[in-house]
Formats: sequence, C-alpha cells, structure tokens
Amino acid sequence: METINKISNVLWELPQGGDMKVPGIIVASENLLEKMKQDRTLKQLKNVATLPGIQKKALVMPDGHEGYGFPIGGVAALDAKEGGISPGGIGFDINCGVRAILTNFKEDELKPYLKQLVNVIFKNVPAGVGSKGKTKVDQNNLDDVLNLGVKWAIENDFGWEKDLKNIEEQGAFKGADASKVSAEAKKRGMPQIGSLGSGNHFLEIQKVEEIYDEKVAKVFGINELNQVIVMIHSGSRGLGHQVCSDYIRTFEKSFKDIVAKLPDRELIYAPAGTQECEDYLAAMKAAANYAWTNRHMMMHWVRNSFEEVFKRSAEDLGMNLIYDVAHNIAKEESYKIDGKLRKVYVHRKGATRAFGLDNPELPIHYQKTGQPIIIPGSMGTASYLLVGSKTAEEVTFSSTAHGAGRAMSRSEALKQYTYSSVNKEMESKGIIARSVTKGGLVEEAPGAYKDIDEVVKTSHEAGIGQLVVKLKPLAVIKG
Amino acid sequence: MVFRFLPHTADIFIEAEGKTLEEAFEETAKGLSQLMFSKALSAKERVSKKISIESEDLNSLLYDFLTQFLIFRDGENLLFSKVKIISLKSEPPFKLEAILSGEEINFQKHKPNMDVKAITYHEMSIEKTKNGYKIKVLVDI
Repeated sequence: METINKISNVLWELPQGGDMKVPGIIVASENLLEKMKQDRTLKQLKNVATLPGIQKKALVMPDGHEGYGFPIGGVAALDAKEGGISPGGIGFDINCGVRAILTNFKEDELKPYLKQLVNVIFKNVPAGVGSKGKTKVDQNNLDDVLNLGVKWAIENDFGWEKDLKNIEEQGAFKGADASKVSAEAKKRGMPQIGSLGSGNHFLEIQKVEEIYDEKVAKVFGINELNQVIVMIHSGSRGLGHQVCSDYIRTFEKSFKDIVAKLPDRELIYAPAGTQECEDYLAAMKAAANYAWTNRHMMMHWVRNSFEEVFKRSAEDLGMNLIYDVAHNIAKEESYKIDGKLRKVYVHRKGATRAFGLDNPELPIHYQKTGQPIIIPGSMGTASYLLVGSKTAEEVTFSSTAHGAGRAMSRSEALKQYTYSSVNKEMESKGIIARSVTKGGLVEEAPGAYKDIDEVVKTSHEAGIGQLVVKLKPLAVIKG
Repeated sequence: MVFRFLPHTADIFIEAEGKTLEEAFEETAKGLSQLMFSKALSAKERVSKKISIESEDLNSLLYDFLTQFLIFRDGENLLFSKVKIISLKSEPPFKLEAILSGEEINFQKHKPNMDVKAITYHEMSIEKTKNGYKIKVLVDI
C-alpha cells in the first residue's frame, strides 16, 4: 500500500514519486478516503500528476471515484503555455451541470397541487433514454445554439434576459465555435436539445430543510424554511459525448508520440498552442453552450408548468434562477503560483467551480457572498447549496465536490432493489417519484450512492465550499 | 448469444466472443444494441446501412465502429438487430466494412434500456483465445 500523508482531517497528500510532476492532494474525510482506496481513484490521480505543465498539485474532491483518464472528482490546472487540454479531464458529458430555481411557495401551499404539478412537468419536459426535445431546431439554429448559448434561447423566448447573469459564463462561453463541432456530433445533438436524458439526470422539486448561513441564503433568494426550490440536472446529451469522442480520436492520430508515453490512453491531451488544442477548446465551449441552453429550455418549461397549474405568471411566482454551474468543464483562469500570476486551464471533471468573494467573474450580488455552488444529491436524498470561498483558490484552484458519486454498480442496484421497493422507500419519505422507465428509477436507488451529507461536510470543513442551505426533495422526475 | 454484460461502479462492460475476429466484432455490436434497447435484437430488418471505417489500430477500429451505433441512434433514430462484417483488416491500415440492418426506434416495442453516452478505451481488450477471439469494452453510461 502506498503512503498517504495526513495534512488535516480532510486533506491528504499522495507524495510525488515516479513520473509524477506534482503531489496528489485528496480532499476527503477518513471514511471517504477509504472508499477511494477501494477502486482506482488514487492510481488515476497519480496519472493526472504526470501531465505536462501541471501546477502545484493534482486534486481529487470528496466525492471522487474511478473514471476514465482522470478520476471523477478530479481537478488539475495545466499551464496555458506549457501544458495543454485533456478531454479525459473534462468527461464525455461536457458541461453536465445543475441549476436551481427559486419560487415564493412554501411547502404547505404547494402540497395540494404537487401531484398535478409533477404530471404537468412530466408532460412538458421530455425525459428518458434517447429523449427528443419538443422544439425542433435545424442546422442553422443548432449552430446559433452552439455559438451563442443561452443568448439564442432568450432571443427565442425561452427564459428571461435577467437569467443570463446567473449562469457561469453568462451561458455564452466566449470562443465557442460551431464549425469545430463535427457533423456526427451535431447529428446526435440536433434532435435532443431541450431534453433531460436519463441516468443520474433529474428534475426535482425540493424544499428548504435547513439554513446554515442566513445572510448568504438571503442573497441567494432563500428567506425561510420550507421554501420551494426547483433543481435541474442535465448535460450536453449526445452532442457533448460525441465532441469528446471525436477529439480523443483526433488527438490520438495527431500526437502518436504522446500516446505512446501515456500511463493511460484516455489521458490523451493536446499541447497548448497547437491547432488541435484550440479546436477542441472551441468545440468544448460550443458543447457547453448547448448544455446551458438545454437546461435553460427545460427551466422555461418548468416555469410554464407552474403557470399552467397556478394560473399566475412565473415572474409573479418568484421563479428566478439562483445559479447554474458546470460539473464537467475546463476553464481558462489565472492563479498566483509561486508569486507569479499564471494563466492555466483548470480541468474540472465532476467538480464545481467555487469562486470566493469579490471575484470579478461573478455578478455583483454574488461578489458580496461568493459563488453559489449547487450540489445535487442522489434521488430521494438531500441536495445542498454551498458558497465559494477564497480558501478554495489556495487549496483546490477554486473547486469543490459536485454530488454524491456512485458507490454501487447499476446491475448491483438492480439486484438489490426493485421498482416497488424503491417506490415504497420514496413514498415512506413522502416523495413523489415519476420515471420514464422502471429501471431508470431502480438503478438510481439512493443506497447505490455515497453519503452526500458527508461529502458536503468535508467540503465545508476543508473551507472550499461553505454550507448555506440543505434541501429535501418533495418530487423527483427521472428519465 | 455470445455476449454478456459485466458490472462496473458507474458503467458497464460488454464482453463478447467469436470464432473469428469478425464474429467477435459483430457480437460486441449486438451486445451494445441490446444494452441500449432490451428488445433491439428482435427488431425488423427494414433499413440497411453500409459503413466503412479506417483507424490507426485495432482498438481504435473497434471504438470507431461501435461509436457509429450511437450516431445512428441519436441522429437517425435507428437501431440494428443484424450486424454483418464484410471485411476486416487487422493490420495497418486497419479497415472495416459492415452492413447494419434494423429499423426505426420505437420505445414501446424496443424498450429503452441504458443511455449509452460513449465508448471508452478503459480496459478495452481484444484477445486471441483457444476458441477464437474475446473482446471486452467499457461503455460510458
């Protein structure tokens, strides 16, 4: 067994050795660390530490587990000149992410209408394996989505102008270029825009169960216990998956000498400054725009559904967007490293950006608190809102966890649970669950995931994302 | 049936066997179809697509071949119950030609199973065995 040095109760060091250019740092409680030791998380962390231009440390967040190339929960800052970009450090589902939407309902006001509301949302928001959007876009529209992101959605009457400031990159990643996205990726993405998909993606109606930081919660728009919140978790569907596949293949063909030296083929990267690197960045940004637009369209239909049920405008119902965060993405950011400001590509694969106070990238109102961080739980368990901190800049290149992380395989879940057992569990918790397929519900049984409470507690203790609000689901819609 | 599914924490392995490399490729593809749709293999042969692929090595050839099924699924709403490899060149330049036959996806009839996002290289293996060939590939769910 390799040495792991304890730095604190929630920080551990995997010392630099072999081909590692930097040490590995693990943000985890003792218990979460033990779980990481059971699969290849730490081996993959070591591999990440061998990448060129990696700065200071390779990181894994509290919800980390084995992935491809990078572990899920992996974070690395590669120098923007001497490093590069690795699609395996971003993931197949580019800009898989989550957004949270306010309402001014309290639980008891909503309860009598909840079943009806869930049925209307289920009708209005396409979900499930291979689900197709109900708004048809053609090739030109799709290019606009890829280039303009949520701006396209607003121009086409999905959502409100004021939503833009509450999305990372204002929902329109600068430098996105639809011409760098392959015909195959567009073919996969065209029919799917505006659909939830399946797997761990969900739409939930939740209530505020606990407020840890009243001042910050207020700035987020949360004023009291039992306030109703809507959460949407989805990604870039087939388009993003294909962009990742395409560029892994392009890089392999262009950089055969790099492939030959890699500890794992899926760590393939394009060196900074190469045309391939620039092209992937532009395509990844386009896929990210697609994902933000996708979530935006679904939010629009959720607002419509509330309007349909309550015969009042969404504006009137206070349905403002709190924030939208990306979980699988690379960003050009600058950090002070060894006394010098350096531009880096921060890879976050199953990790959330966690900007602290005064960060000029944040809208004015959040510069006073730090960035809202949305951490969805698994189906039927709590979700959390956290707030970013200055400490995260130092410790994790402004990153924290992104969710619970699977602990059990899908087939194991299907063996251990049944549709009726999961449904009963949901019912006993007072949660309404609707899914397109029965399997879709069973695979996502709460017991198949790690303990979200421990994940966010670890983030809080490490100071990289501070607890603000705990949310409890009232209703879940799944693919 | 000479393919099976093996568990993985977040995803699923397809393992397939064939007397020849061609057959092993075909079985892997059928496994993928069934993983996506429980009733995929009973689909009618109403549509045929011929595909030609060239890649830099055998693993990549498999990767590119299987990715085609995802593109047809999402882009043209097609699934395939029959997969026939017409030619497969397992040395440089690695090439493959195949005919895929199937029909338009119908959720009621074909029963969606897993939403396969992508093929991966993770622990991918194409092995020669006593009885022929064995392929193992992990797909991202």
